[in-house]
Amino acid sequence: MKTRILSVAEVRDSFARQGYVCNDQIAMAVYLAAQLRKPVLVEGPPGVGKTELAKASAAFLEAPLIRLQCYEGLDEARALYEWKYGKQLLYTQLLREQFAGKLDGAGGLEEAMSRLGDLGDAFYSETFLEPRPLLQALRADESPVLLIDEVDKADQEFEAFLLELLSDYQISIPELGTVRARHEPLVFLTSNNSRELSDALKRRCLHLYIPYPDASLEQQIIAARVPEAPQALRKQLVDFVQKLRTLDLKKQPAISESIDWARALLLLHVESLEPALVDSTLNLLLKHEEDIRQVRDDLPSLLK
Amino acid sequence: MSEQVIGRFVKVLRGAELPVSPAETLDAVQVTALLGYQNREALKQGLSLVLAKSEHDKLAFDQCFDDFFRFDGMPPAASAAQSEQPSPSLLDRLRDMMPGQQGGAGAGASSALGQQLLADDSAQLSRQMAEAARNVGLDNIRVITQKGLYGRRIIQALGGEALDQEIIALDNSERRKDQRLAAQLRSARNQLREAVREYVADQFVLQAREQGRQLREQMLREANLRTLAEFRDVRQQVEKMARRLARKHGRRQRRARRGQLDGRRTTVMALKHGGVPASLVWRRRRIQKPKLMVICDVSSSVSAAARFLLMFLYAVNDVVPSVRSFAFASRFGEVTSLFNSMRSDQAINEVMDRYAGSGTDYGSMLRDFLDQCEADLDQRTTVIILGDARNNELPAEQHLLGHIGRRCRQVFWLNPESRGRWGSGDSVMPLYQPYCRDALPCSNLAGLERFVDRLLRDLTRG
Repeated sequence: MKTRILSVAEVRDSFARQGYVCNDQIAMAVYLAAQLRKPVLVEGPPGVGKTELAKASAAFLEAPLIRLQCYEGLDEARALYEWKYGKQLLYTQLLREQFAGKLDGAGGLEEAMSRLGDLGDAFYSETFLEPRPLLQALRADESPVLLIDEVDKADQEFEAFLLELLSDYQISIPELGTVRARHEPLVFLTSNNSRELSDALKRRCLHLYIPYPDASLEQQIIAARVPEAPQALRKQLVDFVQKLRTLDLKKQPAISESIDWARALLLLHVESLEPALVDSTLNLLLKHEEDIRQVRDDLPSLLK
Repeated sequence: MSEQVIGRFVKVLRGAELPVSPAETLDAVQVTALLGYQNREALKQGLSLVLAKSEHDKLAFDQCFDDFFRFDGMPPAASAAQSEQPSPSLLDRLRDMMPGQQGGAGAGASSALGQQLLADDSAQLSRQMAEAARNVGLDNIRVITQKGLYGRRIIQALGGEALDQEIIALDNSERRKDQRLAAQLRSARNQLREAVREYVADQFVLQAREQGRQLREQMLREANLRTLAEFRDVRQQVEKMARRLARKHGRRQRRARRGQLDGRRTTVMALKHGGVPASLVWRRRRIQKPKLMVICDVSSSVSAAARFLLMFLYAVNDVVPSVRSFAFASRFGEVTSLFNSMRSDQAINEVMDRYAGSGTDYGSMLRDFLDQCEADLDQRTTVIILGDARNNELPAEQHLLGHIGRRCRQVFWLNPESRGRWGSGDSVMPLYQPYCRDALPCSNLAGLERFVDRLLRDLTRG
């Protein structure tokens, strides 16, 4: 991992080279996170590039990216570690004779027990430990970027379980003791705000809110992602999308959707936006039937 | 130096209702140490990352940042020794107040403050003013009427007394030069007072907001509901209380009940491991969405309580999505549709217009309710009745309430009168009480909040 980041501008420029165009606020968050060794909680509407930010940071820092997708019911076994039960059972079956040999000639139950005890925690050792993303991040050989995606989808308990990791970069496993991070990871948490996260979690993180970009930034983003699109079309397209976002829609079009749309228009060899064409490609931008119907009605005024 | 500035800034943020913890304050100090004060925009972005932790907070933060660092000026990053750079606005103000005296260089005045005033050393003076403000504890200013007091204390700390005496002495002097000097000093003193007054006003806006707000909230919570309707920001207060409750209770619709094994699914899972139950499955229990039916007496004596109860219940809508509301005074009717079609406070006004009246008859209300809704009552339904149970000497028909209670999960009764008055005069409260799971007095917002808190806890526990 790159150890020294010189300035906010360096972060921004490097992101731009990768095609992740961002404002100073976002670059500042990455800079401070790396300097202060603190996790970043990224919030914002869907599709503004929250997950992308973690990927871009990993590329910039030349660090491996470890990703944990959260969902309702996610627990330690899936996030942190699990014992390889199948392997444990298989070994027990195969080694049955070995055990029998070991226990041969044991005078009574007590001795047999103590002999078994001498075997140590053979079945609860590294061999049978299946590391999941969080443990992988702690035991990585170089400092990784850890992305905990959509943390708001996980349960309250899981959030509480993360606190130890986020503040001290360590985790307690009952059978193994406390595992400290070999190299402190840079942690990104993303949230779509489907529920309010606890204050304790927020307190431990830098908080970055990424809103929908303004028109000029969105044009830059599309220029970076779809460079083949002509300048005039880009401008028209961004203006149209920005107008859509001011409407009262069930789901507003995100950046990722305007990029998709730009690609589609390019594929159709479109030079400028025509109502008929917009009408037929609207489903790339809007994902709800009622939204499409609403916009279709207003299309002439929106394209003005 | 930096710590002090950040400390005061955090105080301002807390005043604007941002919950900033000590740990975050330390983070902010680290950030300022890293970024320095030179680049205002970068500092704003950096501090925003550690101090404002929601979209809403970010907006408030931006406002506070602009306000605070406008008044306070940017402390120089170079050295701590150079303490407290006066803000440009204050400097200008002080410079304006001494026109055309640059040449004077304090000639003649003997008091320290007088010399400074005449010497036009406004930078020095404003630094001293800020220091004096700290010494007299301007941070502790609470209410607007204290402004004069703190202004006088600051002038005193600056050496105002010596100046006053000097002016008096000069006035009494026979020499014309002295009298001219006295006039100069007097006008400078007036302008200084003006500057101090403005400084105190600025600081008051920044510092006292929080304390004032807390006092006000405390008062709102405890004021009687009947007088409360006259206050301006009651609605925000109710919404805030409701938001807090919704956050507290809105978390889970489902929870694993540790300790109760799901035998069937455990056996199925065990097949994977050759019959060894390596992973256990616990019984989960889905919490059913509760249904609420609220019956409000909207006759003039208790309508205020009804207004706030409805406001509360519709504000915690995330937790209890299904609320049906009924109003009655002289007649009875369902008003749910009003709440679905407009904002809750508008809907409440509409309800009051349509149903308000007098001559409540609780017996016939219970009968009407049963006629309309008996079929909809089930074990998920909680019925809340709000009213003073003053039945105008009509039959109470408490057995109907008993019938409702058996058909639904529970009945709560809220009474805006205090317990002591239940049963006095034409109140039939004691007759209804045995059929309610609980009957509670609620005469202020704090009481309502307590009830809704308890209700939500009960409903979400399943």
